[in-house]
Amino acid sequence: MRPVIVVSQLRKTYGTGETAVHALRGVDLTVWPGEYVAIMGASGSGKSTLLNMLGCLDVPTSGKCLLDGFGVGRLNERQLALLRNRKIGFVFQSFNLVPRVSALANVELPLVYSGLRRAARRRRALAALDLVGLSDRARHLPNELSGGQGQRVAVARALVTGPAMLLADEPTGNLDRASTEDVRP
Amino acid sequence: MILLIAVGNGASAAITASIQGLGTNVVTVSPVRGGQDASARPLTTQDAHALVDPVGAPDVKSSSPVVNTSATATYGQTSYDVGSVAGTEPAYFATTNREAADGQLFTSEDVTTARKVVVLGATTAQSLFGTQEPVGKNVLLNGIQFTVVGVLQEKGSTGLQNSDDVAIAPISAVQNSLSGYGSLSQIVVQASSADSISLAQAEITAILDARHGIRAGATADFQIQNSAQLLETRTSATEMFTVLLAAVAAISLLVGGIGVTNIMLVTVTERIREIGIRKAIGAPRSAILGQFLAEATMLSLFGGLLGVAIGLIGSRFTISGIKPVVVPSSILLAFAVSALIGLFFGSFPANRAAKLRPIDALRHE
Repeated sequence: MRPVIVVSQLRKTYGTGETAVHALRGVDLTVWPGEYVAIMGASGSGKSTLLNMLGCLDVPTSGKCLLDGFGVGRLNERQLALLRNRKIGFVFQSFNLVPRVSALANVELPLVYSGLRRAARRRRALAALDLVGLSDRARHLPNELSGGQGQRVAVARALVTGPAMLLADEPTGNLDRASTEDVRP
Repeated sequence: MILLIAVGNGASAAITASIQGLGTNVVTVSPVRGGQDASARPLTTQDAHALVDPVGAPDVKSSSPVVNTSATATYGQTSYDVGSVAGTEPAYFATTNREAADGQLFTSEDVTTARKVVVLGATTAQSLFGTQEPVGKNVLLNGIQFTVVGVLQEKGSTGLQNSDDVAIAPISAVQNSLSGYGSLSQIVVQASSADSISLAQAEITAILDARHGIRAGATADFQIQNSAQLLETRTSATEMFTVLLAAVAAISLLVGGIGVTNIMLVTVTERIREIGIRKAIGAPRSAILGQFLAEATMLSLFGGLLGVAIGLIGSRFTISGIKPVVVPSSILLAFAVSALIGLFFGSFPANRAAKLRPIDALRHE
């Protein structure tokens, strides 16, 4: 068995010279399949920065990062997009749903980019919505959903491609206690 | 843009039609003005008649001398500047494919007796008489009284001159009273068929060279043009006109294209966050590029549709005497060009959207 995430000596520095901020100073991390890992720390301790690196949204200043066996540093833009699409499911603190389209279309979106046909897309998106208990809200626009429902749509969107890892950056940070219970796995 | 091209096309189509209306077997002989040697002899009515010679010029069917002048026509209180007053012989009508819509044309007898009769073009008749019946009335041309014997059938405007704005009278009468006995403006010759036109041209040259005492190799004091050559000179003039209109259209396209770029830049900025989301869930650069290019193309295609619609409506009206002719291919061209404009001017904003780093796009508020 190979680890899903291998990170070694990962560094990220924002700014240069006097004002440089070292968000990450040599992080080492290994996550195996099936593991459930929580990263905790004070505000500004670099949790989000690390997750952005793992989600291929940002590039590290130095250090290595292997996702499901792929060295992120060596991939070109197209391969990175593919990796994000196939291997990573990302849930944001602020949901980040596309506001103009329905919940169903939001969940379908990753499948559009992986080149699935319409019928298959619809089936898998509905199944994912069903998994988070929102199949009756499929036609609603994001602003017609409550915070908890919106985040559950985001979770469904992250799960719909069957990714190797699910990264969630404070998924309940914007929600009240009751809604948090909704999102909890 | 459709309208501009249509106007240009309309002008050249009208000119082509009017020259083709002359017939393909027509040759015009005109004097070379301001020739360097004073010995240049004017074209005379005798020259015109000499061209009808079954022996020397078997391919010439008919030949009519023409003098052009201008005059103010007056009827009652109405007075009108006629575009072109022509003095000629009856054969001219047949040669230029003109027939009387009302009344009749004048005869050879009218020419020999220098009777003061006139045949009016449709526009002239309309301007002078309005709804009244012109035939049989007397009009004054520069103060000299002519009797209207007929009105010509409408032929339409050529854009450069209106061939219905004419008054045609016997050459003898015009020379007597209006133009004087100078050189003819031209001799209109009809060849026996379209194929024998070059033979006829050679025969005309031979006869006129002999009559004007021009030796081989010397510059002639007259020039011969057939309708094809006439067409060529006129077309090159209207081509200039069309090119000019096209340049105006091109500039407005450029301005429109910059507008498309602006709108798309605004759209991209508005939706930076959405772009970030799409990228975060695995949209490749090409997908973002494609999305925004498609939007820009739709935008400009819609503009193209609007333009074609306006152009089609506009072309139903006559613009400064030119009836625009819409060429179907120009509509197709307009759509193709607007799609290209969208692609070209949309590519910069779309590229900017596609090149955004996902983290920057997501953080954008």
